[in-house]
Amino acid sequence: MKKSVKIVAALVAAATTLSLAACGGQGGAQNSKGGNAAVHSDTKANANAKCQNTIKKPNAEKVTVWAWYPSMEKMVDIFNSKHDDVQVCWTRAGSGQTQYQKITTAIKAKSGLADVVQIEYDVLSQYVSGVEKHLVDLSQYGADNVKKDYTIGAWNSVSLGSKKSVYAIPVDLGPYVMIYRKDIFDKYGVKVPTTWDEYEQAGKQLRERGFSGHIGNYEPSGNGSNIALLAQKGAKVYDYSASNPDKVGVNFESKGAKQVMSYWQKLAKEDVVTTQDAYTAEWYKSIVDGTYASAVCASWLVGSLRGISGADTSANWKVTRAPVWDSSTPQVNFGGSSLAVTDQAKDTKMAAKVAMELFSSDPVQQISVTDAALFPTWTKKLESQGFMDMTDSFYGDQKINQVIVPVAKAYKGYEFLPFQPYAYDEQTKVITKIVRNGADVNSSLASLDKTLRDYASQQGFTVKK
Amino acid sequence: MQNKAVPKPMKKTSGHDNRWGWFFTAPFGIIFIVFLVVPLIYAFYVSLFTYTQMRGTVFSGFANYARAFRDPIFLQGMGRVVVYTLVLVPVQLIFALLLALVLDAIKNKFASVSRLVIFLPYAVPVVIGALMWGFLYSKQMGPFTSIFALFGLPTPGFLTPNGIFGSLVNVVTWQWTGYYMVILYSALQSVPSELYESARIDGASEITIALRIKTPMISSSIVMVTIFSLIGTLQFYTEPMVLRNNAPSVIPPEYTPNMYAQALAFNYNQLNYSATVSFALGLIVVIFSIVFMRLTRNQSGLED
Repeated sequence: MKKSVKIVAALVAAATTLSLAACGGQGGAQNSKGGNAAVHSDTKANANAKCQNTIKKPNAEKVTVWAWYPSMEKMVDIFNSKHDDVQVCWTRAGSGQTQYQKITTAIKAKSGLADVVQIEYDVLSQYVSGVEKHLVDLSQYGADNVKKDYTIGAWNSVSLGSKKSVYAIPVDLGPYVMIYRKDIFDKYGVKVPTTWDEYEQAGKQLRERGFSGHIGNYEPSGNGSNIALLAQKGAKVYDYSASNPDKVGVNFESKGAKQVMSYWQKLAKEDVVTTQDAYTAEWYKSIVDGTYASAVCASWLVGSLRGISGADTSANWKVTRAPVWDSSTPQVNFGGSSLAVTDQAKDTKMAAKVAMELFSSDPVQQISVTDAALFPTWTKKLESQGFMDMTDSFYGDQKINQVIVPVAKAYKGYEFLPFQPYAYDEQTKVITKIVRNGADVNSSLASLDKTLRDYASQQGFTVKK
Repeated sequence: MQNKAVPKPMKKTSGHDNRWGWFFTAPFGIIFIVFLVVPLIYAFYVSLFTYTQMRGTVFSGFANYARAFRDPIFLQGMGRVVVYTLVLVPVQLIFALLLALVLDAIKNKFASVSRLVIFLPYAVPVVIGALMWGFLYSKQMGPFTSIFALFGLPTPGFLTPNGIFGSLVNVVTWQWTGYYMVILYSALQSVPSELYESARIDGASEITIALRIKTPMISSSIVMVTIFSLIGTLQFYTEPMVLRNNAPSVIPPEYTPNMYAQALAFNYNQLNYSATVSFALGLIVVIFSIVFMRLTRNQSGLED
């Protein structure tokens, strides 16, 4: 009996090892260095794909799309009704990190990935860098010809610093602005700040004159919002370009970065701002219930405030430009996303067409800016009079786009590391220590630089000096 | 109608018995092999390779293990769960034992209702339980702000760097104590009551009976409960993962080794190193369990 057990065990072990070895061998062969993402042309492969939307023209070729935009079904329906050659088969595969985890899993499994996926600008480079390239360069399908249809910042974010390559088609942006409670500033007779110096003064005045809340919150875990705040002082903390794909630069020790972090450390210490974590239920609530007199944020927060429960009904909200350091401060952006074509796309050419055309029509853009509250990157929408004159009852019928559009147009785009999720996590840890525990700014930022540079070398990148 | 078939005399060869034995264990055996043994072997195989963005996947032998046991993040996480274990295991065990002994001593309607109520948190899915506590701990939405205000006290910071340890200990204890209590309680039911009678005749008080007779009689169950609790705490994952949504900067993504393995695999695209971390954690859990079982050999009845 013992003997038979051993034999069975040995057989199982041998069988698994053999099959695994086979997998390993295959994987090794595919990872040819410097190769481009694979393209395919199977027009029938998606015929039986499951979709979240109802396909009206079942005989047309299908392209599968993963995206988490609000009102996506409406926009997909419009696109499908206008196309006879192709139908979008859409699935909401979770938002942000949840969807990226599914992408990672499908990449490892070498199957199951959608043809077109929504990807935020800050994680785009991780799918096109190094030996494994999973997003198709769309310039081979004429994507470089639509460059003029998008804002400079958005286009730089999808071309990743290369002249010709296009790794995704921009959809939305998050121009950095400030929303504030006019009623609170008026009540205490405090001027709405336009510079960071005024912001500090206004915060102190509000407190001195009896306001029980704070002027705002600084989020140590704000990931992209910290990049925007640092960029205002010209600090280019992350440096990566697809035209020089084996080099990575990290620099948190510039004069600008140190000044920005010292500023927020001081404001936190003086209790001018709180340092709550962002995007928690509590954080959303305290923005709308009058705990804060203002929030410096991306435009997408502007659109999503009205849905939050527990809001102060007497509030009088207004939108204005984010505070600046001086007249030379550049306009900045936080967030936004694009549609990319994966190397598992069944018919790459058709997938590229969907990525390029899904959002580039007036009816879809109309839903996108009204129902979904996305901030457009498509200049035909962005510059249209109708969009500029849109009023928002939540902001007392202010024409908020007259504030936001110039910011979006002035934004030039940033670079992000090919291992941005890791960089964000380390960045959050160090910034938390600086603003909450009063850790030394210089040595903390130096340690962050060292951690990220070490990781880059460990991953095989050359670290720029 | 007619029973033509002549019943065959049962052949009692060991080969025949064996076949039936295999037949009945097969459903378990297959699932055990497919869902436990094979993934384990696969994880080990994966852990012998290293993937880096620029070099791709290369065979690296045990280099990942050398890295893991020198990785400050992994070691910190390990240290954290060891501290949790040192606090959580005794706390849960003492509460569970105390409750079991009390409920065993009073046998009325109240006791059976209490038993159910104490067990109830275990019936709540862990994720739901943690979400619920996340709301209770919230300064603005939880009830504690108003409760503490009644006594003129400030709200305790449940989700702050200083408060998070206690908050998590509380969630886990709330969830699991009832379950352990039920195991110990049912063990108490199998102790023959003659023992208590003779003890009473010898003049033992109820407390003496509880501590000197009941507790030693169920020592094997106590050991089992401790091992459950030990393994569960070393693999700490769901509760901090859920509470992280409420306090991302207080609970870093690599708070416990399991969370670190998850972050490595799905956020940092380091599947191989993640497998190493998981395997290393498994190894440590096995070592802890074996050491504990050795130490309690006399109590557990598991001598081998």
